Amino acid sequence: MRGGSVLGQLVSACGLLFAVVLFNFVVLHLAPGDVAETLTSATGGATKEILDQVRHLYGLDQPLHVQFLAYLSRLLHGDLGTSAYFNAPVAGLILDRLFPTALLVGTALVLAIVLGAMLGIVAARRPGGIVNSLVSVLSLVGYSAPVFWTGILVLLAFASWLPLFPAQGMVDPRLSGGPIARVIDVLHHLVLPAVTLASVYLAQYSRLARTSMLDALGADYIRTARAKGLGEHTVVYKHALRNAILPIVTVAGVQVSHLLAGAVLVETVFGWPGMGRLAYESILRRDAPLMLGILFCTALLVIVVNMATDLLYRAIDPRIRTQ
Amino acid sequence: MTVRSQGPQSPLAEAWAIFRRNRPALLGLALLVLIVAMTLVGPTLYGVDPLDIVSAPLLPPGDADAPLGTDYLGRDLLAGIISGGRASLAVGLSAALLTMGLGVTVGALAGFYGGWIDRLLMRTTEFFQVLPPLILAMTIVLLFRPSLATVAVSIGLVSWPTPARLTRAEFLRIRELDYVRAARAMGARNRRIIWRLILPNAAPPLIVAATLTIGAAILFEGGLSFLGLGDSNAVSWGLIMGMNRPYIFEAWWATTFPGIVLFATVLAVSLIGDGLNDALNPRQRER
Repeated sequence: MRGGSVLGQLVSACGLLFAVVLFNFVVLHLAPGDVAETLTSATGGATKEILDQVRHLYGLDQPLHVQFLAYLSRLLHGDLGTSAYFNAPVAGLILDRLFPTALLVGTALVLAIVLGAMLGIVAARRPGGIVNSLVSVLSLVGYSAPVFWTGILVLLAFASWLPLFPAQGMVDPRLSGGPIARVIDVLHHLVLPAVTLASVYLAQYSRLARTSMLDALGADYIRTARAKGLGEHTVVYKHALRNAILPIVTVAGVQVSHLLAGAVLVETVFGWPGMGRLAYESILRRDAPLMLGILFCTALLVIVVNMATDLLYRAIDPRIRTQ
Repeated sequence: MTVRSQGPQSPLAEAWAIFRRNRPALLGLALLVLIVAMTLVGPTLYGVDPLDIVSAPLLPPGDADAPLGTDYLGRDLLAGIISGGRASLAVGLSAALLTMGLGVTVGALAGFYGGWIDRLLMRTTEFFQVLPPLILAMTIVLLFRPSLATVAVSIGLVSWPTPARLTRAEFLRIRELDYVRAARAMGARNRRIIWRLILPNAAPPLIVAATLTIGAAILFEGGLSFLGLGDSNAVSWGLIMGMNRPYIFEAWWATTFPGIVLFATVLAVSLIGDGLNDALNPRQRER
């Protein structure tokens, strides 16, 4: 999506969103079995009345294009359907889980970018050093380790053998304190899942930061900066870092969809009450409307974040604005 | 290598010469051979049914009946790990094949023909990159009933954009090279140009990508099975971990050991991928 005018991007974002809606609709209708039964399978064998009610509600006796337009219009009104298991609107269920997921994914992303950039810089400045080897090993292990296994090891280590952090959930239900105590409690719960989710991306970003930092340090403008007598600190952190951080921002923006996917596994392991955990629950209950709603909402989230990354990119790199 | 003095080596021999000097890559290869051998002949040698209840549940490792302990139902964990490899590797391999097949086809068409074909196909990859892979795969498996085939197809369907982009970039680069232009001027057919002239020269990065794709697909299958979306009749490493997840604190071994094997498998594949990258693309060597 990079490049082009802001308006053009808005149009292409709407196109993508429309494609997501169409995809949801097609997948639901391609699925084997009766659509009404698929939609209600979470209730464990719906009665004939319920099935008729669902058929009527979704207009399943109408031609497909009428059904699609009705589906589209319901979505535009913020109606994502009804969860068969929770017997509640899907939109509300997802909205309740938005903040925990945003908190987890956001923290993990910031952690991975900041730590990754730091490791990458140190590695690039001392190509033969320990940190450089560490980055190589870390990126290999981070890529190969299943994130749910990492999560389990982290749980065993820091919630069981060294019980420093709570094992499950986001808040301690027994807690009776003021708002500050509550915030501290949430942060305390956040540490393990955020570190686990960050570990995968830390590996990638440190390697990326090392490569782009090596490129930046070899560039002409760095030689110029050194030649005019700037201190090493200014050269590295003011001149080189700025240019080395751009590839990381790009990759981080592209990978938001992967982060959300990783959040499903991490939230499941840590009982974190986010959208990923909700996706896991909807799988357990075979709750198709809820799962389709989550797919739609996460795709929407990715599109929004991609656009935001693009704007951020324009702010960091003035060359793009003039194109 | 005794033939070194007899003129230039074939590219394959040269690549192998570089690869076998790469210690980590050889280690990865040895590890992978070991794991594959374990899954192929292990079940016959060990002879314990992974679904049989052999002892008390959650027995720690070191027991005479179950060397690696038992799971929450009292099934032998070692038998599960040995048998679980088949499903994990089979799904991982077929999903990777599907991913590369789809990706290379789309990328080659987009990169070679350009124009509206390119725009259409690139729009499609963009669309698939917006959907979070695991959540998309979960939706597909939920709607289409879990089986090994559904899992493999859903992994392929969500993973193909990465090789597609790589293939497209290679095709865009190579189709402008002089020898391709010359062949075109001599009237070579498109099919011949694509298959005989461009694809072989795009092969090195694609082979590396295919290796990494196998690792990613094995991880992906592990994640889906862990969430209970795999084929519940086929024991796999992820499935064992998912089923024993509620008992992490009572029985650390039941989730940790299958995880180690899964990790080792993907690590081995990654090491081989890195080695192949060095051997096949010597100029792009990572610093």
